[in-house]
Amino acid sequence: MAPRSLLPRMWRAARLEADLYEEVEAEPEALRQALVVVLLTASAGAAGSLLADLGWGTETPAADIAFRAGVRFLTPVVIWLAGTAFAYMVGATFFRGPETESDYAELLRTAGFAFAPGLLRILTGVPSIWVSFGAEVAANVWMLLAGVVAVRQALDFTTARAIGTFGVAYLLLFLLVWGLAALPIPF
Amino acid sequence: MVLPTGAFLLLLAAPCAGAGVPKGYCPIPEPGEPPSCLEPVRERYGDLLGEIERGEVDEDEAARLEAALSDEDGRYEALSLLAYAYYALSRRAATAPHQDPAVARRLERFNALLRAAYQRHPPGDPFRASVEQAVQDIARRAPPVVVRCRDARGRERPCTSTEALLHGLRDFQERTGIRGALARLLARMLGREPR
Repeated sequence: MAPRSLLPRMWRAARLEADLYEEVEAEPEALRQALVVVLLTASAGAAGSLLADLGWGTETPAADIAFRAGVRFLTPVVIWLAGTAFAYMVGATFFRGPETESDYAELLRTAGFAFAPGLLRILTGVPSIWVSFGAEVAANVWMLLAGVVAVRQALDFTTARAIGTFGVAYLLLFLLVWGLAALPIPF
Repeated sequence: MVLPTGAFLLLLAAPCAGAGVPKGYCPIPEPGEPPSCLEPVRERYGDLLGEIERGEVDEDEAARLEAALSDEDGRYEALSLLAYAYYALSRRAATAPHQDPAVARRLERFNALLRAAYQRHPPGDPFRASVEQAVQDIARRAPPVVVRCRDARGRERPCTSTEALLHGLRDFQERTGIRGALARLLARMLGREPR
C-alpha cells in the first residue's frame, strides 16, 4: 500500500487522532514520513531561533547564533532516535501491559508523527517576545500530549502507562546526555 | 518528545477567582475591571498596593514582597502583586515626561526576582507555571520601559523591561532539560565556552 500524503497525516497527528497513530504503527513505509516530520520540526525550531536572534537586534555573535540554531535542530532528532529507544526499552519491559506487542521501528514511526505540532516553533522567530514565548510553550505542550498518544498507541497500553513510559524515557535520556556532557570523557 | 518545561500547566492553571486565598496567579485586571481577585492581596499588602497605585514603592515594603516570593504560604499573592506592581510602574513610567531611573531599577529588580522564582522551581511545578503565566501577562499588558540589559558578550545595552524579562526566561529554557544538556555536550565536543 502506498503511503498516504504527508500533510493530512501531520494534521491528524497534531489533532491527536489515535487512528492515525495506529495506521502508521502498522505501516513500515511510514518511517520515511516520520523522519520528514522530525526534520521539518527540527528545521522550524532552528529557523525560529535564527529569526529571533537576527530579528531582535541583539549583538549576539554569529557563532553563538549558529550554535543555538544547531542545537535547536539536533534536539528533536536526538529525542526522536534516543528518547524513543529508551521509551521502547522501558515501555516494553517495566510498563508493559497485557496487550503490549511492539518493536522499536513501530515506536519510531508513531513518535515521529508526534513531532508535527513542533512546526509551530517557526513562530518563535516572530519579533514579538509574547508570540515567540507563547509559540514555544504551545508547541511543547502540544508535542508532549502527542508524544503520550504516540507511545500509548505503539505500545498498546493505557494512558497512565504511556505517561510513565514517557517520563522515565525522558529522564533516562536527560541523564545520558547530561552525563556525557559532565563526565571527564575525552572527545 | 519535548522538554517538559512544565509550561503545559500554563494552559491549565486557572486564574484565582473571587475572594479567598489565591490558589494560583491572579491576572492583572483589565482596564476598568475591579481587581476582585487581588482582594486577598490587598488584605495582606494593603499599604504596598496603595503605594503601587500611587506610583511610590517603599523599600521596606518591597523587600517584604520579595521575601514573600520564597514563602510557601504567600507566594501566589506575592507573585500576583509583583505582576500588578510591574504593570502599574510601567504604565506610570510610560506616561511620565522623563523616565525615573528608580523605576527602571525597580523593574530590573523585578525581572531578576521573576527569573529567580522561575529557576528555583523545577519543570512541572505549578508555581513555575504561574510565574510563566505572570510573565506573559506582563508582556501583554505592561507598556515597554527602557532598562539595562546585557547581550551575549556581557555588554550593557538598552532594551525594554518586558523584552529583558522574556529573554531571560528564554535563555534559561535554552540551558535546561535535554536541550540544555545537549548544548553543553556539543559545546564540550566543539571546544566552545559554555554559556
